[in-house]
Amino acid sequence: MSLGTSLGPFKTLSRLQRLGVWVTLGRRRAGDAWAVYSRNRLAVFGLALLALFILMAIAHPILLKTVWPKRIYDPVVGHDLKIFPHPSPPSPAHLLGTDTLGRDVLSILLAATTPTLLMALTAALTTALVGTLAAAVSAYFGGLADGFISHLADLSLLAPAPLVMVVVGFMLDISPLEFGVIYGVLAGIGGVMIVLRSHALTVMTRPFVDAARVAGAGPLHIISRHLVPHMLPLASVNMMLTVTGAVFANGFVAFLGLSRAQLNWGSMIYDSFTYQAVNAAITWNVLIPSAMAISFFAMAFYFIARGLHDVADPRQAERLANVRRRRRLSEPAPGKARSAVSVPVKAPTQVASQAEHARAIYQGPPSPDVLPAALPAGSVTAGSSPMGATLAWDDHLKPGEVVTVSFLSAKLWVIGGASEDWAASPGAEKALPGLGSLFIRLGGAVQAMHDGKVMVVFGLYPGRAPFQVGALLATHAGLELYELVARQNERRAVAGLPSLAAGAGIATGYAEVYAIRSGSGGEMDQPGCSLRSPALEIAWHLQRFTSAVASGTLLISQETYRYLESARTQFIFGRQGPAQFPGIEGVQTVYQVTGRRQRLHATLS
Amino acid sequence: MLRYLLRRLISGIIVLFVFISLVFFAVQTILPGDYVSQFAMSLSSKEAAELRRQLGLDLPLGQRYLDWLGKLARGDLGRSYSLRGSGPTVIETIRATLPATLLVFGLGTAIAFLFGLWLGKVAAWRGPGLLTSTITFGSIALYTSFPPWLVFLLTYFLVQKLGLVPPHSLQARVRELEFLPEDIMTQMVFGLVAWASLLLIANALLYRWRRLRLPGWAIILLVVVCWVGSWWLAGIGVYAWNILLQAALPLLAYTLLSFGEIMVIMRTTMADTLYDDYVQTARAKGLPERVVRDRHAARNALLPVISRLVINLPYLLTGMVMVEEVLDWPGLGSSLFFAVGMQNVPLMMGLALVIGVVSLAARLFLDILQALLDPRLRSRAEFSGRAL
Repeated sequence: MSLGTSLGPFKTLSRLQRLGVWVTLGRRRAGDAWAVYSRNRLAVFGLALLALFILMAIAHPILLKTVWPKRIYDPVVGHDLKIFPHPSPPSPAHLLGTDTLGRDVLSILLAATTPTLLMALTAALTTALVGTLAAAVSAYFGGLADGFISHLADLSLLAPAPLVMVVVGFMLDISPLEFGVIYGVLAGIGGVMIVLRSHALTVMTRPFVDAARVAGAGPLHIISRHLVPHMLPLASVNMMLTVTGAVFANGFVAFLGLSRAQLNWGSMIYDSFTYQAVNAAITWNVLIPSAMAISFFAMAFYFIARGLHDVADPRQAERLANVRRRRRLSEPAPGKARSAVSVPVKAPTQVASQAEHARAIYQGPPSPDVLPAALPAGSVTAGSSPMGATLAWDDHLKPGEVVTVSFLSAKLWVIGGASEDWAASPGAEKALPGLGSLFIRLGGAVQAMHDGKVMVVFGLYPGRAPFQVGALLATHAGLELYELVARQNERRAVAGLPSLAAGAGIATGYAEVYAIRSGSGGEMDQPGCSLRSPALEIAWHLQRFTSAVASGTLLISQETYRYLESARTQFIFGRQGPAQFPGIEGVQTVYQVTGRRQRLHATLS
Repeated sequence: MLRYLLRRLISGIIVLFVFISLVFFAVQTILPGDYVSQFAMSLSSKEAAELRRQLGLDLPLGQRYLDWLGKLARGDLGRSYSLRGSGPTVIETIRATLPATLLVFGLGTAIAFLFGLWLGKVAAWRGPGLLTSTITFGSIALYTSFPPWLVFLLTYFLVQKLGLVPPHSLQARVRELEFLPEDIMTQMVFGLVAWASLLLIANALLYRWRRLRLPGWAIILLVVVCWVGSWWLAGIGVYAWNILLQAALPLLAYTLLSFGEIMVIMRTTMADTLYDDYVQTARAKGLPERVVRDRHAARNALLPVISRLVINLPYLLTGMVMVEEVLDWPGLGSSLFFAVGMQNVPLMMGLALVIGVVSLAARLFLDILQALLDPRLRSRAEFSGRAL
């Protein structure tokens, strides 16, 4: 619909056009709703079950008219003289056999569908009607009306609808329709109204209600045009939920043998139990179909209610996103070929001082064939990062395990004198105070620090773990790194020193853990791990690119961008473009992050 | 907080009063005939008139209502109708049947709640998959299975085929004993409540002083051990154990019927919290997965489950009544059908009162629980006075 371009500001739509818009919007909305609903497989199953029951209800009169002779197949007085004795097991003539009185079980089963269906639908509609109206009036008028209706609801919670209906059905002979109406009123004014009222109260606080009021709308208009439409989804959920209770109450009354209704699944069970003494056997062919029918009938409505609940939930969009995220998580990892290649174990020449750093150490280059040869021979420990605790060898990570990580690969160039070259000095903290603590604060673990390059991993977890956390933290860390460098550069400018250049690239993906045993002289006291991953390589390439060409911009990989999803609003994105990485198949899109709108929550600092 | 609960209690009592008054009039105007015409059909018309006079059924309805209220104010629920004029007092009947219901209802609800929560938590944490679908489908299938059918299946397989559970013959077995079964059941119910609250309070104190917390399963285990152990200390061990065996079948049936809804709601709300910011923060802080799941995600998912339980409680009670009726468990439910069938008005009123009080108490308990778990509610309640 390109209405915006074709219409002038003062032109109104004709009635037909308005209808067109309405239909288009309605169709789109229905499509969206169906997309959410159909995601719940059980809900679709419930809908199929309901369709089956409707089909059963329709089929019975047709079958009686065409195929089944009424004398034999009538659900109440039919009897098959050809078979003896009754009850008989299933046979071609009687697909579910016959009961003790010689009636066809399938015929009774089908005939009982119509009243139950009628009762259920009546109960559902009455519940929705009564509940919605009561809740709307209560929420709109408040005060006395609200107090009255709320207390009425409390009252009916003391006398639960199913229980009352069992008692009522026990004493009075009422038709399925009446049963449905009474049940609907009781349930609607009770629990359903309570749920709907609290929802209506939140609707009443929305600005459009105030707008309607200012425009001079009366109660009738606001309730019918604004309040009720917003309550309908939730009302439909609850009306479906109440059916379960109604079906059970109805069936239970019949099961106790108190209802005079002949056509009821509950009375089929009752008959079966009653004639058990006569037959001295359990008539499973009567019991199972009727009990299954009543249970599946209730289940169908329950499943549909769950599906509608998904649709009505204001968090549906979020849930949809979650589903997509989860699906992606369960995708096979890009580099999951878990080969049994033995990684050449290299004893690092410089083992980080001693046992106090034993935890949270990632030593050595990830793997010689992934990283450029310029990578360090020595390494710097990460210190006690909060997340570092999970990195320890004996805690979670096992060699050969696939973990999910987000890599931040950063490089700081130091232009200046040797004393300023932090890479030359053993402790990085000296030259750039706070760099190490920056990553640690954000939950990253410094994997390697050498020659002005830093590899940091975020969100490192074995098994099923959120990429989102790692991607989010690494992106924040990258931006903080730039801020840090910018602050440094200001100070350096005052002092007349040349400014630093920084570049960071972020990639997200699975990595495989390889064991590196270190130690000397036969002492294997310092176990460590190494990571290997295509994502690592992408991060490295991105970092090289940004530090060489586009200094001061943060580049993130396609995967990282995807995993940021719900957190994307925290950042400002710049350009994006395709990139081809050596050793990685296909063209990938690279995104630029230029700044952030929102800081990570203060709890992290 | 206390004021809020007090207000809630008072409004609850007023509602309860209106409720029983309504029941009183509804029962006697809507239902056809009265006790004498429905039950004492063999009497001659003169005898019938005499019986009506004895039972007070000849008085006008308003008069009878006022009489009943007057007695109620003095704590007297009257006597059941009987052909001899008046039967056992209603309070006696309630004392004999309430413990049986409370034992199964309380214990069953607790088990169903804990089991449903645990199952929902696990299902949500695992994410979509075959196991989760199976759990969900199974829970809903049990929840929506027709109670008499489920009870029949349980009886058929557990009692008749496997002989695991003794058939329900509570009255027959325990009748000649020195204790009445209802007295033992009362002790059992109180013991369970006492031990559970004692251990929970101890756990809270332990946390306050030592920053230690017992894991959930340990508390449950301790409650069970202390509960069962205390029977033997009180000298009712064998009888109580017997009663528990008898109660196993109704307990199992009721629990299986009830836990499904709790599981489904828990799973849905928990799945929503999994991607909430505070869960991500907890993960990012490096907390172990178990702590993130139990302390951060599950805690917050618990609230909607409890508020749903408040609304669902009457339905659970209905399921309980159905199970009792089918299994002949000597509880409130079976007495209710007995009373309604004969239009035994005093008994019916007494039972309605008890059902009202039980559901009121359960709702009040859930209100307190909700307020304890949700700090927002405590402060909001001060202002609005109504939680729902």
